[in-house]
Order: sequence, then structure tokens, then C-alpha cells
Amino acid sequence: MENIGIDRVKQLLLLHLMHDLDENQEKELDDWRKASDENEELFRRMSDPNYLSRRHQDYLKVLESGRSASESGGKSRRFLWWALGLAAAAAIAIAVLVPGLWNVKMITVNAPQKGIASLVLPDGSKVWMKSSSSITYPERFAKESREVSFTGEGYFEVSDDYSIPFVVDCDAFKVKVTGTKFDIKSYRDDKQALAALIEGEVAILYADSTGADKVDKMVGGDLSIFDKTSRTNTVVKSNTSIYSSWIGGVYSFDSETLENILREVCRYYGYNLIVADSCIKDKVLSGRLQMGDDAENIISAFQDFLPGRIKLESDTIIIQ
Amino acid sequence: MAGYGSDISNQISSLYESHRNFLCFYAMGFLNSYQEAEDIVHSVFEKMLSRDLDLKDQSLAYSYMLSSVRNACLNYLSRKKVHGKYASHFLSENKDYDDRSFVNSRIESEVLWEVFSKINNLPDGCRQVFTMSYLDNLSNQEVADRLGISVNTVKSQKARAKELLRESLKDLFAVAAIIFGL
Repeated sequence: MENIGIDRVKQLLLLHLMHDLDENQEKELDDWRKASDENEELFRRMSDPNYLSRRHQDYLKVLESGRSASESGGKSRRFLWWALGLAAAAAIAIAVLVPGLWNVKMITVNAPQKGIASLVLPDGSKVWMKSSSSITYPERFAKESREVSFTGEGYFEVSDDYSIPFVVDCDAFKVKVTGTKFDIKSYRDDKQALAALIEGEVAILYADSTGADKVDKMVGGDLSIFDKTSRTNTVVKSNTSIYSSWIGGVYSFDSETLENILREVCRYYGYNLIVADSCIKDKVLSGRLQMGDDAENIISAFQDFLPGRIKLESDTIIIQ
Repeated sequence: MAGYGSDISNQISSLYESHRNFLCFYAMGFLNSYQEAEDIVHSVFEKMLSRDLDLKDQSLAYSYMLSSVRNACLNYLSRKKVHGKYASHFLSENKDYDDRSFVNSRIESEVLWEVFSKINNLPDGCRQVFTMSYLDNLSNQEVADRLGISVNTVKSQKARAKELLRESLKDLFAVAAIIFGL
């Protein structure tokens, strides 16, 4: 097909972003998408809420920094200063002489109530977070450590371009790694916290019930289960790859109780769970659920196990 | 380096002032942090200062800056072996592919910049509702819950935001408006 002009493509993409395409425009955009893989790739990025949201953060960041640059004496002057190497020299001098003034800004990201949030940390490490999760990290990592605080469930792909350790502080325990992929599940209101290692090596750091510092080493395929009440940690072999499948919108579970599965579904959709019959504590299931836009489909999948006893009322799943 | 009093350095200084923010945003599409993006944009301008470039043609100067920033980002990524947001996708050896992906990276950043700028100028209530619905992909109900307003208000704010955006984006496709009108 004929190449359509760049400006037309921009126009179509804009309309697409605003969910405003009519039928003909849709068709025109489809043709453009089919013309090359890169076009399709661009279209996908422009349709990915996680990506758009991250680029929006980028935008806000640029504005904020641009504003502070002009407040400190005008951009052009700052640029010329910089070009002469003076700004850098001054900044270093201040940092060295008055370290107390060199406070690094902390950034906190909360996952949305529904769905998955993803972000890239200053060192290039990637994090995917489930709903009700939250991460706090410095705007810039220090030279000797990369430490973040985390609560909820998150999948981490830690960049190994730095030899300094990466530490995730989960309140009850810490996970220390260099470069690796792992999943942490540590919600404040859960009695147990899990860390599933997909590849690489990590160490779990915690204080036991006597207050003594403990270090448990894990290798790929290990699942660590930390009991917050007794402050004990158990490391077992497991099919840990299922712990990262959720980042693609699929929830996999292996010999999990129906109660835990439903709890997970509720977390994803931001629902409450009311259990009037405890039988779901004993039912154990393995399988996969595609977490889509529509929770009704998920609920109906459970009708087979709980005929007529599971229902969704506004934002609460009720088992009776 | 050219003298700071010369025409060229004045030209570059004014280019820097008008395009710095957009170029940083563009660079952040490749990189992982604002700091890296700012450093790269600075290094591109530093090179421009040291060369005898004719920058009178604004649209040529603009293309030159964009492709310099992009090349600097890709060099930086391959040197550091850091995977940026686009990772291997943008580190291709294929020339054809490379040209197309340059055009697309430019299209992408220009469209997003335009939309984000317009969103930023929306009245407060409208902006929050629009950002949550279209960028964070929340449902009307969720937006309503978070802002403590009714679903109907969410709907009407969304409609109003779209109307305002449509209005302000109308003149977008006079090319110059995208590049220089911000």
C-alpha cells in the first residue's frame, strides 16, 4: 500500500488515544499497522496503559525538572554554566562539603486498585506490581547500595550491570541480590510472606524469634515461605515460574486452596471477599485463569466447584 | 569551542531553551532515568557548540537535534549494555529498519508530548478524571471512588475533557505547530 504521511499517522494515533476513531479511520490505521512490524509495535505501545502511564510520568518529570532549572537562574544561563563545566564543579563541591544537604528524593509508586503496574528503577531494574502493592525507592541510588522498600506482590528483574547488591526491604525480612528474577509476595495483612526465585541467587535476611540475624541462601527454583508470627523461614523446591506468569495477566496456581485463589482474584479486581462457609479452605485446585476486564467470567468459572454458592454483589464476592 | 558571544552560540542557546524539555522527554523513551536523559541532551548541545553548524533552518536544526539525541542514546545503551525501555528493539543493524524506527520513535514522542501538554492545560477536575481514565485505565466507578465524586460527574468531566482536547488539538496538523508552537 501507499505510505500515508507522517502527519496523518500522528492524527490517527491521536484519535486512537482518545478512543475517537471512526470506521474509515480505523481501517486506515489498520493498513498502516500492517505495513511494517515497527508500525505494529508503535501501535501496541500507544495502546498499552502501562506504557502510556510511564511516559506520562516521564513527561511530568521533565516539566518539573525544567521548571526548577528556570527557577535557578534561567535555563540558558544554566546551560552556558554547564557548558563551561562550572555547574558540575559547583555541584560536586557542595555535595562533598555539605553532605547533609545532598538529600536524595524518595519516590513512592502505588499500584492501581485493579490490574498491574510496571516501572523501571533508576538502575534499569524492572518491577511489576499487583494491585494494593507499593514501592519506595530513591530518585538516584547511592554508590554502595540499591535499596527499595516494598509491600504487596511484585515481580523483580534486577539489572546486573552493577556489582553492588540490590536489597528489597519487606518489613518482615529483606531479600538481597545482585542480578536475578524473583517474585515477592508480602502483603501487610498476610501471616506468611513468599519469595519465589525464578533464576539466579538471592539471600533472605531476617531476625528470628530470639532477635538473632539469619541469612538463608536460595537458588533458582527455590520458594521461601516466611512465617511472620513465629519468624521462621522455610525454603522448598517449587515450580517457581508460575509466580511470574501474572505479569502477563495470567494467574497460575498449583495445589492452592480455593480460599487463597479467591483472595487473589479479589486482590486483582479490588473486591472484598466474604466467606460464610469454610469448605473452601479444604478444596485444593491447580490451574490457570486469564484475568481479563470482566470479573463475571472468572466468577462463572468457579460455579462448577461451588454451584449456586458463589456470587458477586457490587464489589464483594460472597461464598455461602 | 565557539566563542559565547558569537551568533552560533546564541542560536544554540535559544534552540536549547525552546527544545530542551521535549528532547529530554524524547531521550527518556530510550533510557531509564531523567538524569541520563538530561546528561545526553547536554552532551548533544555541547557537540553542537563545538561544531560550525548552520542552524538557521529551524526544521533542519530540529531534525538534526532529534537524530543526534537518538544516536547518543543508542550509543550509550550499547556501551553500557543497559537495556532501556525499547531494549533490543531499537538496537538493530538493519539500516532500513533503523530509519523506520527513527521515524516511529519521533512520531510517538511528538504525539504523546502534544497530548500530555494539552492534558496538562485542562482545568484541574477534568485533568484528574481524564488522566485516570485514559492513562491509568481506571473504570468510571474506580475514578469516582478515588476522587469521591459520582459516576455521572466522571462521565460529564470525561466528555468535557475530550471536547476541550479536541478543540485544542484542532490546529495540530499544521506541522509547525507540533514542533514549534509549544
